[in-house]
Amino acid sequence: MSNQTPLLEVKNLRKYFKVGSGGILGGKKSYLKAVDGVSFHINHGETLGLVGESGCGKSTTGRTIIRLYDATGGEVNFDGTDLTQIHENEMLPYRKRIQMIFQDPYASLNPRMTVTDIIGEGITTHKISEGKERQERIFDLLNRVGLKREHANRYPHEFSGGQRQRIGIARALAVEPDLVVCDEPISALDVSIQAQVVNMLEDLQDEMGLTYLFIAHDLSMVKHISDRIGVMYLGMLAEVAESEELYNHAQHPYTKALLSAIPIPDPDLTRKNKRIVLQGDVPSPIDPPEGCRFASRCPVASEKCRQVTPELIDRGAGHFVACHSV
Amino acid sequence: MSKPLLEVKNVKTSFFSHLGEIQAVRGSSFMLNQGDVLGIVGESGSGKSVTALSVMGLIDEPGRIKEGEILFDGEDLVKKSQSELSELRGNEISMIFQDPMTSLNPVYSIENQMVEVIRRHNKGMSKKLAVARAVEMLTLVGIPEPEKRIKSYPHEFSGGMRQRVMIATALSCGPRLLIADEPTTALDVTIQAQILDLMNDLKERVNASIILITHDLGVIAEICDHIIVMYGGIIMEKGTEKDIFYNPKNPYTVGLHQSIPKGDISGDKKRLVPIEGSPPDLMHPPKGCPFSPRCPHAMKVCLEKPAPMIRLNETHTSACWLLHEGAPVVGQYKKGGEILE
Repeated sequence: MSNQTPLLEVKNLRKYFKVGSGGILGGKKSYLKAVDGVSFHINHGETLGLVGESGCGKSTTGRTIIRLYDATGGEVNFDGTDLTQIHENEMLPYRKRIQMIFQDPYASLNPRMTVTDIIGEGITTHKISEGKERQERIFDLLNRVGLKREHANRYPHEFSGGQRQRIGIARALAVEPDLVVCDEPISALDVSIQAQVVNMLEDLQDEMGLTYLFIAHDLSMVKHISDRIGVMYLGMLAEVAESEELYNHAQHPYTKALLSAIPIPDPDLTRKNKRIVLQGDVPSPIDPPEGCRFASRCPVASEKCRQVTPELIDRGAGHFVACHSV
Repeated sequence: MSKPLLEVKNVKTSFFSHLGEIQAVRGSSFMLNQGDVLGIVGESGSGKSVTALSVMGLIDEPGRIKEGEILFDGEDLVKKSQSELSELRGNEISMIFQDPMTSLNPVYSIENQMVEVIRRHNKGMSKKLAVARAVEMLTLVGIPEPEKRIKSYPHEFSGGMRQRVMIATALSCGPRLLIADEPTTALDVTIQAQILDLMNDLKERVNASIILITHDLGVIAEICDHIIVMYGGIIMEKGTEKDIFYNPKNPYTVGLHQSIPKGDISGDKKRLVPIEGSPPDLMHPPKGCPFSPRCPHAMKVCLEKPAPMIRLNETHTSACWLLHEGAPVVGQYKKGGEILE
């Protein structure tokens, strides 16, 4: 399925948001370090899952990659070009090759546009086809995502959540992208609908040779869809490994706790399962302390962890872990 | 068996909008014994929350309980006036909601809000005693340094801590029934684990019955002994956690199980089996079984007539025509059982 050349290579990516102005009163300038040195790659045709709790920076990572935000530092190498270095004017061809699917199928479609307009906008912008050919293309896309021809002239409010998400997917695929950043594409959907959308994403990947960056907090779904998974905590990657490897041989204490926290829909299993319950909450990403970000909640943290930030190191067979105690 | 604490009999609740009647709950019947933990699982629009709000007497205009009885300790709550109900709420039945931020008042301290609740239900209790009681409750739910933290305002707490405060407040008057409506849905997994642990622990220590409403079968598996599966405003299946997880007898329950990835199964990537189609429109619910338009085994009768509730054994009932004597044999749906309604 996937071959071994990276389509996307992210190196030491950082995105800081300024909070507190500094201003005339000389207040202190603070930075919210949403993404603070994240490195990973995605091969052609592969799905990389990015998981973590709210505020860990997974969505910001996705948005910085497609340059909805300008990176504070680091590289985003897409097919050999560093997207953080090129001028905004030069982005257009890359915007065609990288598309995004958003979480909220209600907010991400313009209520005043018909389905044809929504899906066709990108086709026109990137001069892919026009006139009758364009219309045929839109029908074909609707068909692919399981909608009908007659839906083409309707407005978003006439559709259910699951159907809207299908429209969002058709819009992303309309420009024949190579990489699709899926930012929590199923979180807003009902359980019985989630499986429909996940199956469809898998089929489309096979048909069109797509590469996915799949961002989500639902670990069981991420495991299902991803070839490899990256676990983020407070702006940094804690662990990256192949899905099976990560689930069966997690090494980072945070990954272990996160995995044990998933409620398994099987009463006998879940009640026997010895759960690692983390104490406390995720600390604030504003001016985070030195050292390992997870140290304050880690059951095995030592003095070193509070002083030196652990690096993400390959521990064999592409299993990367950022932890001093491994 | 002793008298049930709560008995809901054929409750129908509708909302009357300018577009027409939305039949949110269409004949719900179940009971709950003292000390039981009942889970109600269903997707959005299945009627699970409206069922709970009906029990709480919190159905507001334009909604109304059209029919049915809700017997709490033998007394019918549907017939009670609002003032009688507000005596019961908090004292006997209390509820926690999904979003702990909007359920707490941001301009009052936690102390203020908890003391208000406690004194409201314990007429004549001194403020000092009420504060002591509040601190005791916060200790119970695992808030560190409760004497200090009680002075804080909601924004000074994280989501998980706020939900602990909500649970403490709900339990502060020693209710006999606690209804939790998606109590962990807004929380992150590691925080959800903390809250579920807390609820499991409280289940042992507080003698309250719990109704837990959620869309997450994983959360249900964690703490519930009895489970109700709702869809399109009706109860599809009822049983113990063993019945519902290991021996489901309703195509909707089976469909739900198949559409979620089972975290434990390693090795090959099994393809998910989604339920095709989408949930029914409650303004114009299907004439027959609400699941029939999406059911892989639907027969003619399923589209025409609502399925009878069939009792399979002492604990397990399912509303499905496949279990009826006259139905053909399909998969795991063995026919037979007593027809209840």
